[in-house]
Amino acid sequence: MDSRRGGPATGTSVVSTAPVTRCEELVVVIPAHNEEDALGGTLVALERQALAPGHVVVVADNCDDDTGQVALRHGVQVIATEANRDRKAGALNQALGRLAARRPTYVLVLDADTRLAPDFVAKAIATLESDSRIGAVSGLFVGDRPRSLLEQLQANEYARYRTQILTTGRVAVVTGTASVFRFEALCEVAARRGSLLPGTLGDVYDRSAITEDSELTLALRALGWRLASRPECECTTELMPTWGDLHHQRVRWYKGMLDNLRSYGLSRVTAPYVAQQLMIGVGIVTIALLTLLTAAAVASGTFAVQAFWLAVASVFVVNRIVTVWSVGPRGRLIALAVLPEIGYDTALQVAFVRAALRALTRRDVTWNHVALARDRPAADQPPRPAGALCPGSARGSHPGIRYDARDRAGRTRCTS
Amino acid sequence: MYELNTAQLGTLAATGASVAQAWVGAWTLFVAGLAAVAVARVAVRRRALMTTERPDTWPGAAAGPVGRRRWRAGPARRTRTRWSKRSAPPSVEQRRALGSPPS
Repeated sequence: MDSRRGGPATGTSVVSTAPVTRCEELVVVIPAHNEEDALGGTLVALERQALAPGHVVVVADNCDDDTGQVALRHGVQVIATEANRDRKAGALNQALGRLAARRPTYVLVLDADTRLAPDFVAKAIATLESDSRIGAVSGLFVGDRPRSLLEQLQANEYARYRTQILTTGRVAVVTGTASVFRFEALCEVAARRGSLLPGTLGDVYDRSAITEDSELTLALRALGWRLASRPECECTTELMPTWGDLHHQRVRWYKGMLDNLRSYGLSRVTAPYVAQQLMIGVGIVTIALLTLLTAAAVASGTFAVQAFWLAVASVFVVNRIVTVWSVGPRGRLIALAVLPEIGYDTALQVAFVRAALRALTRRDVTWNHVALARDRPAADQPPRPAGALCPGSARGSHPGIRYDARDRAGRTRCTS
Repeated sequence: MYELNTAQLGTLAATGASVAQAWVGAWTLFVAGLAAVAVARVAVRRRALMTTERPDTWPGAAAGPVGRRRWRAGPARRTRTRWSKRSAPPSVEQRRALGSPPS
């Protein structure tokens, strides 16, 4: 079996002069819920990594398609979740609990519809090895082949976010799409749940959080871990095909972050995030006010264009173009046109307002599983037998992770 | 209970509009400043990319600020290579493993 397809690792390292990074030190965990279409491409991208992971586990979570079969065809381990009602967070908790016996040094959590750049693993591991205080290396996601105006607008937004991370060095959220974690850091998070951190003791991911990645980010920061990202740690992720899907996704993201901030309260860790949410809110109110004043000025016949404000507006246009330069000419043209992005931003603001209202009224939002008719590799699209269930090779109850709390000085130790 | 006549209502509306205009103007300038800073950061990073040849992914390199540094070969930049005496440039095999094109 090819070591890049999981199974026994060969223990090769990329470069002899680097700190020895063996393949088996990294385990990849891919939570998948009915992802038979996308999973094949994800695993192929994983097989093409310059540094092969030691072990790959696909966590088939309440699947009623051939997700497990697709994974098995790629030679990776498949485990099925047991009575999981906590979506992705629950699936990951179960998988990480089972990993405790293996005691990997690093864990790559990867979405089933995300394709990694070939150097992703090598660069992420190198970054983690360069500084023991780094708890996670976040992937930088880019849009997967935008085909419509809406998808291009999302690709532009992702490119802008990527530019922001690369120019400021600040990782706001360790993305759930693809990130490499120091297992020790995850163990410490699980050990501090229920006391220092929200959630249940033994859970790496807080099952009550609807955006588990942003919650885990806050948890890692609260425990003093540093977060990093690298330009080479790029991954492509699916784009929402319709405005409705985008709205559902963003309401979930925004509300998830607001809920997480409420759980953690105001602290030195959460202050920048709270400020960010306030900025969004104030920005929305101000833009509404600007629209109102402009309409009033036009109606009263006092509207006039001033050179100074035109110059100020040109700063925004330059910013828009420069920050999406990496997406190519199409994205730059859309940024230059300004109006499409204003419309897109307005749609996001509507989602934010709705999420804020739901957060205030403590109403839940639902997940919106999007089925995309992308062109998948033909080999990964076998006819689906009716009622097929995901195979599970390691069925059993979720063992959780136990911890040796005495080892606090050297950070919390995991035991199986 | 206070009652406002038409003139007072007009004054109140005008004052409100002025305050709103001032707020919108101030906020716009603030956000424009942030946008200008973002553009400057991109320019600085771009400049750094063009003046350095050493990939920050080179084993043994100190973990510096996050930045995109591509391996760029070419005589003009060759002269600016800053390999430390203790570490030799990566071999072709190493560069391939790291995803950088061999020069």
